Amino acid sequence: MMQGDIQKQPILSLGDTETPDDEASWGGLEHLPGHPIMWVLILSELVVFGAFLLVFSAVRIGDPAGFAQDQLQLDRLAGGINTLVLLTSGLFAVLATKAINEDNRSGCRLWLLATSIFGVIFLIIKLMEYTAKFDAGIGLESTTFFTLYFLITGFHALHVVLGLGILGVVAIWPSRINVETAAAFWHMVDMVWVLVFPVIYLVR
Amino acid sequence: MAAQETCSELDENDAVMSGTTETSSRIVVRVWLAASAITILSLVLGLTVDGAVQRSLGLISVGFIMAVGCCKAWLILRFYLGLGPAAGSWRGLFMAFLIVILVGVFASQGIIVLMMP
Amino acid sequence: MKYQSQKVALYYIYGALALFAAQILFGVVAGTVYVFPNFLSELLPFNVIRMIHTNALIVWLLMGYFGAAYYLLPEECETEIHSPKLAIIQFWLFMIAAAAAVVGYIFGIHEGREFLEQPLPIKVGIVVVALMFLYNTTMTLLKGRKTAVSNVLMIALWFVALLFLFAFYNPSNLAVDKMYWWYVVHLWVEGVWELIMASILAFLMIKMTGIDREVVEKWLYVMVSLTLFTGILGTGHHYYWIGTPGYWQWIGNVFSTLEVVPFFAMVIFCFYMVWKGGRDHPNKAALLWSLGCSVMAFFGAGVWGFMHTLSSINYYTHGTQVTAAHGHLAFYGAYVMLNLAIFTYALPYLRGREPFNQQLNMWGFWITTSGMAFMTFTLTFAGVVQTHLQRVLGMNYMDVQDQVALFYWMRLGAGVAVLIGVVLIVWSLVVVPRASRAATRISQPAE
Repeated sequence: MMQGDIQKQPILSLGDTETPDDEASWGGLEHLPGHPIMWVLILSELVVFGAFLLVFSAVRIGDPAGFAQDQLQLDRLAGGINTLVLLTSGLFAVLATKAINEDNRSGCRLWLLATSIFGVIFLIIKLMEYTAKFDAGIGLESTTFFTLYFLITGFHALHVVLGLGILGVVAIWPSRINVETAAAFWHMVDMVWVLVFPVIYLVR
Repeated sequence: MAAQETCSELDENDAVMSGTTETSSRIVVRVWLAASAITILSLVLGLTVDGAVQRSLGLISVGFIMAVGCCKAWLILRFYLGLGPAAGSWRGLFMAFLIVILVGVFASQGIIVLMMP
Repeated sequence: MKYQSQKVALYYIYGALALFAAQILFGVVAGTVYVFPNFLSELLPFNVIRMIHTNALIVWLLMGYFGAAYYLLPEECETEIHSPKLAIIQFWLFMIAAAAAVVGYIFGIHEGREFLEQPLPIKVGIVVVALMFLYNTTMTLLKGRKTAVSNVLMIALWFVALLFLFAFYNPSNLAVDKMYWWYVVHLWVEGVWELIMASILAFLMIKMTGIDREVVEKWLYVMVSLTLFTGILGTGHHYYWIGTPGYWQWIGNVFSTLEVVPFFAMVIFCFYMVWKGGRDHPNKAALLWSLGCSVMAFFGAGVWGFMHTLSSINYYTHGTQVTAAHGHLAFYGAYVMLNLAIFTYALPYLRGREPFNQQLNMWGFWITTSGMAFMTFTLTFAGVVQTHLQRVLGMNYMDVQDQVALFYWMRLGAGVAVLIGVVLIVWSLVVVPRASRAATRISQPAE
């Protein structure tokens, strides 16, 4: 199959460590935990959330009073509790990874279940927040603040749902690479929330 | 934090292949405790000192809020994800990401507070 | 060429080249109408000329993809096409449907929906053609080796067909109509067609640079992920002003800005592979088209797309010549050049000859590409002037058209240059020189 005279070539390497085997090279992505393709998704998402948070801050310059007024109607307690929920969930994801590294499949599954339960709690609290907004007559198109609030937190919540799906799939086939991949995604969802919360709920 | 760094360096051999550093459960639990404590503390502070909600926050408050957020994000990257020293340029890249957001939010607040009386 | 059934690709390539020539001819006629408004107005109204220009483009590009699939699937799957006979029937059916559509347009029979003007029976015919194609190729894929290139290509072609089904849904509410219309138009060119592009470029890179398949496949997966991540929600940039909710502006702004990333990745991919793998392949023209494709797609689709994708800019430029500039260079760079790359690569093998007429082909490349680039510049300037006079200063539409007439003359000149370039390309691909050049006869390189 291979043309004999053409040597294997190393491709771009972002990590500082040497890559002894070029076949394993993913242009540096292989230095990150989990499957490299997941990192293409995660990095894309960080760019999108980063852009949204910067756009949010830039748009706020045009109407700081209006944004502060709208922000008053957000439930900061619920947002803060959700931070705690995701931090705890992330801890369980770490423990699931540790379990599978020790070949403890049932332990890994239990930790993954705990991770997912806290993910579901996050979604329930989020849903309660949304329902309260809708009951107060606030919708996606009420003001620029709320359009961005719903888009950013909604997009994040969708990632929690997607993450739950990934955790579920991985719980069925808990190999080391699978669990690491799911955990990487979950930690990113966690990290994004930790940034979304202060920018949207607190800064005014 | 310094103690944790030395601790993780023990696993450096593992790290060469995957670029990540395994942190012991004890440390991860401590990180979780620390992050949760900061969250609860800032919640209590934020919810009790609520009198002047209508006014824009000062630069120091915003800087503090964003620094706390970015610290938590960094804890997640460093200890949950295990992005140790071996992850090389990636650490710098994620750090840059956090700094861009911190600076962006801080700068927009600066424009609001300083330029708009 | 290793497999006999690859020969069916010849039908599609010749058919595509014929329609390509027709498309450019009608393009020059349309460009002439811009400077002589009454040119052919009794015989062929402008809307019909434009319809033929755009429809011929889409049909020949699709025909090229079919040909590319029939050429590369046997090599990727290491097996013959399931039914070459069905492929030939499919070709003639498609050609007849295309011809019938054109004749219908000339007599004013069409549905009037931009790009989807085909009357209902023709649309049904297209679906039948697509089903024949998908059956034939999927059966080929199922019985053979499965590679990333063939899997991505086939998944993309399946979605090309599935998304076309939205062309049948034609609600009377114009806003809803437009919303679904973009499901076909946008999700084709900024979604699944990009996957076709990535997989065909990956195939060409494996064949021409000798880089390991494993390395190319990783790039392919990354390009596919980036395309889908940005392209699907990027549809939002078409939902700014058609009556859809305002939040689409935010979604469209963020995601369509990022649509430049997969195109940039394709540039890096192609140049990196050629740099690493070497340029020893005897078919220099095919290599030139592949590299050119990635670059011009990046500029046409990526850069020129970004120029007017932000809603605050698009508010002023929407539907001006800026759109025309972007449309021309994006289609040329991404999909016309892609097809010409695979045609230039495949034809020597299909006809069992050395890559003849390489110099002529490369002259065609430079003339056509320069012509398209110049056309894009003139249309961009025309669009900027038009935006300022019409949208900012509020001048009358036709008065503005008089002001940008000079640009339309230059565009016609560029169009004539493109026509000359296309004649050279088609000539170099189809006509065998009497005195065959003394190039070494190339054998099929293994991977």
